[in-house]
Amino acid sequence: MLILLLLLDIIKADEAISFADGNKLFRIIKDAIKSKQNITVDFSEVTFVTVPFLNAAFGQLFKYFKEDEINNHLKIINLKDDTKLLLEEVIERYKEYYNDPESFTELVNDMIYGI
Amino acid sequence: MGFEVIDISRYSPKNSDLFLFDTSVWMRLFCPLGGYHEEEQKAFSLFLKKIQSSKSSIFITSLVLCEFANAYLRSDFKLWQKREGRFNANYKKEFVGTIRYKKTVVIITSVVKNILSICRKESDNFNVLEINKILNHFQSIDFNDSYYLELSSKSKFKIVTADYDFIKYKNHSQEIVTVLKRKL
Repeated sequence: MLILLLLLDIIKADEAISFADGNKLFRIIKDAIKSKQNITVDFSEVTFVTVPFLNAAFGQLFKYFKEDEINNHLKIINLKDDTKLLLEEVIERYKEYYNDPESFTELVNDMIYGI
Repeated sequence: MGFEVIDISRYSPKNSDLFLFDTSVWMRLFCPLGGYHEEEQKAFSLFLKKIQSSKSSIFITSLVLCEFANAYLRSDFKLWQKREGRFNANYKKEFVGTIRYKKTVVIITSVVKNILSICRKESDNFNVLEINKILNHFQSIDFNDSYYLELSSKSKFKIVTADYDFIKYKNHSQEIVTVLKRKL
């Protein structure tokens, strides 16, 4: 079965800002992958996206599933080119974070408190 | 108006509010940092959503953008060093100009455009700020933070931050909006 989700319907806005909104999407995707369903998320008409939203919606998936599983069941469409690049970075860094949260946190602390 | 620390989770932005987000907040909103301080990601992103709904204003200066772009690039350099196992690599000589560097600059460029799309540009007003006050704050906190305090005082901004220095240092009259759960 294929699930087609219009992001606009989930967050009721054209701006995907909060982690909480990302969590709503995450729960739907997580359930779909868990039950081996294919899910497509359509970003049409979403004009503004933050990193916490992407972290919640997609980054957290790596806590529960292997990359292959996610790629096999999840498709994202109509994503603007710049958001696509940002999402790729979000996923890369989330994987690095889960690989070794302590050392990642230490590294970011070093960098962020030097601002 | 005097020094006041405001719990971000309890504050409802008003249409008349003027906010200055510092770099620590922009980093949590637009730099991918995995699950780093997830509670802060939740709090600041929800606050931004409330601001967008209430139509209050966020101001940004070139200095904040400059700090953000540099911090984002430096974080990428640190991660690159770790991935490549090149812990002694030189930032300018060995990282700047790499494919990865160029890709990151493209991402930062689009993020900066996104940030500017929701902000009002503010001049640094250096000609009207009192340098002695800035230098006085500078005895206790970073120079940039000292400057933000004076700019905010002049322009009636509430400072939104994840930087604990703004709370520890009390010799100012600004309202500081932050995540209190972790900080106090």
